[in-house]
Amino acid sequence: MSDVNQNNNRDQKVREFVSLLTSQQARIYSYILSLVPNFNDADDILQDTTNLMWEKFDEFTLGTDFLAWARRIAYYLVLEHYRSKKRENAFYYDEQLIRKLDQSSDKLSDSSKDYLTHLKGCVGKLKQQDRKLLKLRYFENCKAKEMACRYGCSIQYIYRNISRIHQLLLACIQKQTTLKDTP
Amino acid sequence: MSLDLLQQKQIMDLLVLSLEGEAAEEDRRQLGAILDASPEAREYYLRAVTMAECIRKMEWEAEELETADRLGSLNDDLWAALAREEKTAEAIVPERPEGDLPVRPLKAAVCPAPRKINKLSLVTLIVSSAALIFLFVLIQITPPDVRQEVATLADSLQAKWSDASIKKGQRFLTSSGDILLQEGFAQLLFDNNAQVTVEGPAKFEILSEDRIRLHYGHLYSTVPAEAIGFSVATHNALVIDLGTEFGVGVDMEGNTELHVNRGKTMLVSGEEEDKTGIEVTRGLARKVAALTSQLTEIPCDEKQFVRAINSRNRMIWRGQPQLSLADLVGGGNGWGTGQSEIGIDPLTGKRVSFRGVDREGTGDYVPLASDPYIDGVFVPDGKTPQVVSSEGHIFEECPETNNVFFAEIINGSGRQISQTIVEQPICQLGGRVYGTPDYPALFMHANLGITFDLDAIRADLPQQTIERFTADAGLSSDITRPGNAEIRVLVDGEVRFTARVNDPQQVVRIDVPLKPAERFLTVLTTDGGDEDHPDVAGERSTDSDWCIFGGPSLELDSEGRFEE
Repeated sequence: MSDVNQNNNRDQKVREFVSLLTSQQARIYSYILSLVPNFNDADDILQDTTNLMWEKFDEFTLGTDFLAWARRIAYYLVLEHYRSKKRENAFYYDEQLIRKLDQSSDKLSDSSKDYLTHLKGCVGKLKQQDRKLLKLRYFENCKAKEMACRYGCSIQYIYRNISRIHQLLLACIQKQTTLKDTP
Repeated sequence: MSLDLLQQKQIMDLLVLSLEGEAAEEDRRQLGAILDASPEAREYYLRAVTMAECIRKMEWEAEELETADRLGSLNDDLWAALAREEKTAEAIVPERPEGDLPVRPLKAAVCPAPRKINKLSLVTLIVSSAALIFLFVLIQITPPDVRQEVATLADSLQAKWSDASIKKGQRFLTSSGDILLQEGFAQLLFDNNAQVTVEGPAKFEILSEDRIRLHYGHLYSTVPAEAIGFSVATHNALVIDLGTEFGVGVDMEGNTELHVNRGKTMLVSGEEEDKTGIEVTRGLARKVAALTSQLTEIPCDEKQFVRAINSRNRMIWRGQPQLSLADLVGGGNGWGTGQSEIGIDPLTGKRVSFRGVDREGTGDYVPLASDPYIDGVFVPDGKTPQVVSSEGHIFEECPETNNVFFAEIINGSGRQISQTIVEQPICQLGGRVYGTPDYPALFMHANLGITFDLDAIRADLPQQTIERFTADAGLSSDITRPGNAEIRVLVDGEVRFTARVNDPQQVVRIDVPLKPAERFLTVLTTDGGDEDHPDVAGERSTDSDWCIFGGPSLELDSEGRFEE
């Protein structure tokens, strides 16, 4: 094959991969985060997953379920992540729990779009100070430790408030989703 | 089986810690065990994870930022609160146990504006009139700053400016001429964290980063330690802050008045060769006559000046020491803006016209998400763990009741009910009729509960500390049949006051101290445990339990805010 043809094929492969990845990356990340509930670790595993997917992209048949394929790869990287944790004597989720979460996540794989739709409206219903806290943490990227110093309180107190706000938002979103589904 | 509130809270608490990388091994182990054991827990957890990811990547669009602006710009309002807190904060303390510490407006990592001269050092050299005059002259001959931005319009309320382009968030420049506030109120925040509240009509000019000239009108300055030396100039006087709160007024004749509420100031007055300077301290006031510059002592009027405003809740605070919880129930800001004879329905959390008819509670805590200061309401029944806050605080010792309530939680006397039942006005305690503008009241016929969010109140009153909750309480002295009820006050779910009231002549005094770390104040009334006969008229356990809280107030104080 000539160099030109090889380049064209590679470019085509890149375009196909990028297109598929772009459309599914959010779902892949949600899946990883559900199995490894830690933003930093999930970010790392997503990167590893993306790299491995690219390496193995020749094994993927176009037209088949890209998301399912990506989740399989991510699944095994998650297992590997927890094996390394076990070697460090740190607590890890065992494979049985990971399998249960994997099965449960199938039912909710499309929920993130709905959640985003309702989230802004629900955030708007929060009390002002709760909205401020959320914005500081997730928009200004102010860390809890910094906020704790500024508030003059414990980090745990900050997290309790973040957790409380998350609970309120989830209840609000659930309500909106239920109303939407009710005939 | 669906998860209850506490189970959801437990999962969410552990998840948030885990997502942030702050979960201890025991936390991760606990979360794993919960998820392993229950498919409902796994479903809730997965929804929570999905939502957490959505929050993280949510785009804060312009409309959300504008919404924040309407409610109080994140930058300006938070800046104001942060700045005040930062500058009066003590040294950063190590982590303390949960629930033991205040949640205050955030502190910004603010660096004070760089100073050209060390004003504090200069001020401490003032030991004689000569030194004082030197200071005055130095200030006068210091080369004027080049035009630069030095202050922000942090908030305004009912404001009408001669320059219609002035809007909240506006940056003010030095040496840019007179600014005329024709009516209303404006709150300026200087970059050195000095705060000035102006009441129109007023004309003023910003001279420098720490000087403002008042031609006429009223202004009130709150000056934290790092802004010491901030000064207010009039045509015949100069007030130099020494770490204080003070009000300056100039009337149309040109007389200047200085009233000092906190700390101390230096007042310089007099003609060129005869300038004098005196220290004016807390509780004192002086008048400088327009034509002669003669100095006279006048009574200090603490309420003359508007000290703070809040356009979000239309608050105009002149230093009133008490905030009315009854007014909050009426939808007000605590200073008399609420609607009287209005009730909050404990089943829905909505404000409604009230009625007197027995209804059954649901056992649920109803959050008032849209109310700025009221966290939630409920009908206590004691048969299930009684949640008393949106954070899930449980009132463990809630007595069992008949789960019936007769009327809504009312700001006022509930006289509409009295007109349909008795001829005499109800809501009397110790011979005084409550439910009037002078004697506000919360009318809470058993069984009712309401929780106030003290942190939300603190956030809108950053200059104040909430010292205590006080009220007179009892049964209306004009009921025709003897009642038997219990009154309780909880703080973060824990009982701080209990009283049984069964004598219409009995008035109990409630005085519950409050700490900065304490967030939720709950007031509740329960039937006294009488036998309940639902089928017999007049023999329900709640009958005649006309509980009243007369003058329910949060006592405020700003004593500890400044060093004297």
